[in-house]
Amino acid sequence: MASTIRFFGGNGSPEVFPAASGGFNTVGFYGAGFGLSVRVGEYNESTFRSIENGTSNGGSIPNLRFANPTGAFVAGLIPARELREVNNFETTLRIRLNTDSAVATQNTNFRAFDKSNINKAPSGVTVRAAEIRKDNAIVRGSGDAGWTVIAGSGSVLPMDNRADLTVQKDFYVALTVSPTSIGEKTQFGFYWETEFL
Amino acid sequence: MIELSKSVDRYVPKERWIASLSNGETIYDDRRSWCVPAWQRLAEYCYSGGLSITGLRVQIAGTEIKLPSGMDGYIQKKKAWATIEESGIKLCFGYVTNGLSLIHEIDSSGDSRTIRPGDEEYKGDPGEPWTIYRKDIRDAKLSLLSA
Repeated sequence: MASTIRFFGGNGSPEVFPAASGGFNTVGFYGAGFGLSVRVGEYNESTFRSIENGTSNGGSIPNLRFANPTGAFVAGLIPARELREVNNFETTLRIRLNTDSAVATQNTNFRAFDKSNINKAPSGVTVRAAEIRKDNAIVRGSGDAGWTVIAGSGSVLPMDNRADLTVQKDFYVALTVSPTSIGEKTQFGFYWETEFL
Repeated sequence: MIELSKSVDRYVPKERWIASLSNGETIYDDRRSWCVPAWQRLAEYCYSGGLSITGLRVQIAGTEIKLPSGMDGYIQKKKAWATIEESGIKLCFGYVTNGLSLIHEIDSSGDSRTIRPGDEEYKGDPGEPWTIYRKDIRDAKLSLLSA
């Protein structure tokens, strides 16, 4: 069974490539704009595709900022919106699974880790995540109602089973990040897995 | 008619499961892209023909792994994973006995691990369609449902 998994901004662009592909391989979380820092205890105000040290701007990614346990500021707009009212295209990440035959998926989950060991929590940041499932702007979504703090294998974001048999599936993950101390944070990455027949 | 590979034909990949059935047939994993996954077709074939899987083998990374015969059910699934930097797929296969499952995970490099009751990641019997149960187990489940 051949399969490919690709990471994009929630609106479909840009793709976040592996470094070996010569692309921008990092999702960078910033303050009010590219290169600006997020204050300790606060959350990202902008999100960009970048490189590992965060110094190159590879294009913006939809930004979601933690507002409360069930809501987010979408693209910097006030007031906050309930997570189930966030559209797929407004989400931080779109993860696309392609398989060579039509499959259903189960036991799908997303985690944040320290970039060395997928079981270890990221360092220096609090990462909150939620699954978004709202592909119709006028119909309330069916994803997560609240944020989950994700940290290594100790706390992962479980994602819905997909019973529909298709060769391509998109999964949307909302992310918001807060530093727990001063300084650049690079020791965190994302891991996603799913099962199918 | 359910399309299945009963010999190593052009649809059978190098990394594959091989199921022995109670009617003496052998069914191979296949890549018929216009069909649902081979395991799902195998389940339909077993259910419609009143058959059971009597044994399951997996060939991957230049080796063959054989599961014990006569189990209550056999499990097969794939696990795809990715970070932004790398991705991979693991072939997962195992069996169910007395309501408990044992699942081997192996990737194309030959790295493997076994998930069994008591392990942190143990999730029990995944059930259908991941598990194909023996005919008498299926019949017993149906009887319970209709009671």
